[in-house]
Amino acid sequence: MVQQEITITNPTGFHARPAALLVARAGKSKSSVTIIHNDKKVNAKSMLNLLGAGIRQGSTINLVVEGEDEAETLSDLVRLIEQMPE
Amino acid sequence: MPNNRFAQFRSPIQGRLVQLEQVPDPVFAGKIMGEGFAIEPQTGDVTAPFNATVTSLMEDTRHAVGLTAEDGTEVLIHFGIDTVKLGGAGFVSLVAQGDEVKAGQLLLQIDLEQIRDKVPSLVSPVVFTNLPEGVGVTVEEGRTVKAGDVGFFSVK
Repeated sequence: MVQQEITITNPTGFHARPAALLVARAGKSKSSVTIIHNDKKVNAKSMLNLLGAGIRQGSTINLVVEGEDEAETLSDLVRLIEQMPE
Repeated sequence: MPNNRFAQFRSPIQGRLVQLEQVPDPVFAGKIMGEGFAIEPQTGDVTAPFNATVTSLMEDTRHAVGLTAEDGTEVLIHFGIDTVKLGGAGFVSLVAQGDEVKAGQLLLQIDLEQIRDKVPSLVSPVVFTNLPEGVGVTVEEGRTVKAGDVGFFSVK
């Protein structure tokens, strides 16, 4: 299992467009991908769950990936979040 | 997913049907969120397409609502393009995340004239976010639907 904490800097937070890119990448992973936000666990392969998690600018989330391709999945997802389009 | 689920899917918005690939936004047009269709709205009412739980509705922007039906089918109704940037201005929500809603129930009311000049497009994607791989959605481009109309698209 690998994990990384990351703070969302995108002013419009985790809305449909960045969430779509994240869910698409997470969906390709053979590992489980969970986002922990405010003690709630969200399956990052589910678009609606991710949108419903209320992740905004300034939110800190913990990205947890567990499985055979966990390292590359985590680094791809971290990069996607850091480069989140507005 | 049983096809009759989609045969009873009621249009959430009144307007002209648009193929998802024609939506002026690469994330929707590229079907990154999933398959679906879009509607160019004639009114600002968004109603529930089926009985569902509201699984996502950002209370500060209110521009998109995600619903999960009793059988697990998920749909995201996103009113307009780049409407997240309006910060909720012109958008009223009549429900909240976690609510159970009935088919036909009013979910959002949008002031079209207030937002029309502030966004690149009012075209509103309706996306099924958990269809199995390889399933496609086709709609009769250009046809006008009323809220509540059924049978205007097919899922294969």
